Amino acid sequence: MNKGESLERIAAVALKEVKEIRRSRLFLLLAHFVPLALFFVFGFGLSLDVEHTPTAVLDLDRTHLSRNFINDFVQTKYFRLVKRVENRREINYLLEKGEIRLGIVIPPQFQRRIYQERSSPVQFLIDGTYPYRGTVIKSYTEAVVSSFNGWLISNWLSRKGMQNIELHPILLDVRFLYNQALISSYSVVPGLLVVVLMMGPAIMAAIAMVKEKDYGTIYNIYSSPIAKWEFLLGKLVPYYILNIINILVLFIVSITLFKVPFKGSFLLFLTGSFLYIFTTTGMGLLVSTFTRSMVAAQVVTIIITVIPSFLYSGLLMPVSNLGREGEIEAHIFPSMYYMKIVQGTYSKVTGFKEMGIDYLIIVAYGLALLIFGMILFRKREG
Amino acid sequence: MKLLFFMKKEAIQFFRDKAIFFFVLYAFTLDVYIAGHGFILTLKNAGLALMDMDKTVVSREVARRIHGPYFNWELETEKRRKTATLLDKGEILGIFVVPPDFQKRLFQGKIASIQLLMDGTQITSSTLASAYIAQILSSYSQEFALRHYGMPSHTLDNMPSVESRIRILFNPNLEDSYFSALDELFMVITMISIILSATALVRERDYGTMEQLLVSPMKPREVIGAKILFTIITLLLFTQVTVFLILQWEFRIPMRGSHLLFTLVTALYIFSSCGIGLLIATMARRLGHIGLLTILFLAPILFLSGGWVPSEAMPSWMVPLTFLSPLKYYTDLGLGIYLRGEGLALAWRQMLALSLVGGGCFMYGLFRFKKSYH
Repeated sequence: MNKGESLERIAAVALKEVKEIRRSRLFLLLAHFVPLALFFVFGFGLSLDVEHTPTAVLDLDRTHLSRNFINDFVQTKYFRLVKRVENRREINYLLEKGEIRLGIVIPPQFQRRIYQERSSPVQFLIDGTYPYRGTVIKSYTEAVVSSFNGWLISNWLSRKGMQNIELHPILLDVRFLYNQALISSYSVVPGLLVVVLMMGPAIMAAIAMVKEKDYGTIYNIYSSPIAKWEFLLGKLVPYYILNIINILVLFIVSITLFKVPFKGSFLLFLTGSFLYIFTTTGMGLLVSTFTRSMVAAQVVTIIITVIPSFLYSGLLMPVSNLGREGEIEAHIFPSMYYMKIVQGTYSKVTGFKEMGIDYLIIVAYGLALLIFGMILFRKREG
Repeated sequence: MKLLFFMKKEAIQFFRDKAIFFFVLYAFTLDVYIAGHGFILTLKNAGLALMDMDKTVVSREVARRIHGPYFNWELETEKRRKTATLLDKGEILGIFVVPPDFQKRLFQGKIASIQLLMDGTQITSSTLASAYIAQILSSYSQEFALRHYGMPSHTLDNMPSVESRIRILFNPNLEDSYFSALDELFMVITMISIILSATALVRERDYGTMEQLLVSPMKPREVIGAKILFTIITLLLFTQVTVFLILQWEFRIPMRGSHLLFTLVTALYIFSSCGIGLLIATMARRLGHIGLLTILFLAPILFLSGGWVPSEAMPSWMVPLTFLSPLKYYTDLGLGIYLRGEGLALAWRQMLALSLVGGGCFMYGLFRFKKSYH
């Protein structure tokens, strides 16, 4: 077999695939539109900020000071007063119903105790259903109470003739590197590339391969002189091209519509992104070797791509913060490594020296999948 | 009877395909197990680097106050370069810089500052970490000031102050697994019921077996009914496996409410998701379109459900849209019944809303499906 013939056969398969894609208008539309749609769904609002926590207050003191205290909560953007209630039962009811996440109970004698230079308890009931929100609400609550206490104590000290005492002499100066204003779209939008370019290529590749088995057109291939690797390559090349177009479109959308600054090297980004879709396409190929119907291929691909790319890629929470099981799962899938490349090129301006290992892992991963796919793909029945 | 026979056919098709069965089982068991143990949203062992240029008793004490389970000092160094590389690589979350003269300034009664450099690409954990550190420093600095001005014996108790008594309800230790495992189960149910029902309906058309069904005594709505009923029953069985094996046996999450009500609500939710599957089935021309269409519908459903992103924190124009996501009602109901022990008296409103949204999807899907059937 000479090289020219081989190339011709690959081109023939690729051309056939391109024609099929183009004739199926809906598929082509979905292949380009779904990644964009995901950008628009998640790009504007995916932040885990806990703000405007619905809060109810039971004020049994009803004094000037207790109202001041409540005001300190309501004035922040973190709490929103939805109801002033009359009794404890009502607070419990609202919490059980999930209508409020924080209930504040101010006891009688609140003002009197404090004016007598004593401390007064205040009860906070926090809904623990969402543990993350629960911890954040707890820490905001403590912060408001501590600043209220600071105000009380410095007033008290100045009444005792100790003015100008600095009660908080340590100043914390926090700076957020790479994204000074902490604009969530700056980190979410590039992060979405990781999600979108995992699900899309894997599903497309799985369908492309299983389609032939499912409709029986694979028999034409069984009886043709084409080699296994020529067939597979011919099938996959159109999807590489299609997804490269997606990478470019998504990149342009991210820096224009979402105005995400791109600070690093475009070449590094493009190489990394191509290697990533090469790998995720391979995931689809692998699925196609052990499934026989398109139903199975799609069910399996969705199960193995949607959840790992959302939960274990570092999009919502850094991988190092995950539990052991989550960390293991994160290392098994290619998404975590690509996330480092995306963040490294978009915002951190990390060099190839630091990210080289991530490129290497993705390439090795992709090659392994391709080779596995080729070995497991049988050019005969059985 | 006809329905039963038809469901038997569906069952044979489902169980014969080993790959589907195996992966659906994986999703309902191992996947929920991994998420419950592995998906942690609260701050845990956030890696910090310490650059202490002061090296005094006070600076040591400040660093000592920042500790586990939230924080972990990864290294201490004076080389700015080294810490910057670690931050670039994402191996640490932040750098804590204590300037020289820190202790001296404090003893002179002046303000001394500490610099905290955080990784701005990790928004959630960086904001959490800086909020915690701010709080730790604020309480330490107040303690320091009172001691400095000769009032060490004055604890908050004998000063005019508020003593906060915080009680966490429903999940007293704020165990992440309670939420992560349950939310993962809800996601798995959503994902699988949509794709299974959509493929079940398009399959016949795509393979040309629809012709056979059309001439059989089965009416179109019976075909659809049997397929949907099969999906609901199968997934309910899988859900029971998750509830008993993973949620109750492995994670020991106590079921506060009624198991029956939970199952009923789950059935109602699977029915709504099948409505979305039906809708997808009418949009797809071939089987190969379903995967991408599923993702197109799944993404907003997950996003608007309030599981990850609290609806309070969404942009205000987005909040009304959350009421369109059936998963929003199911998340509220599922967590409410399971963790908070909501009974029918509290749950019926949400159940009604879920029925309306789900029923709406279903009727619209049915209407379109019947049109495409002929």
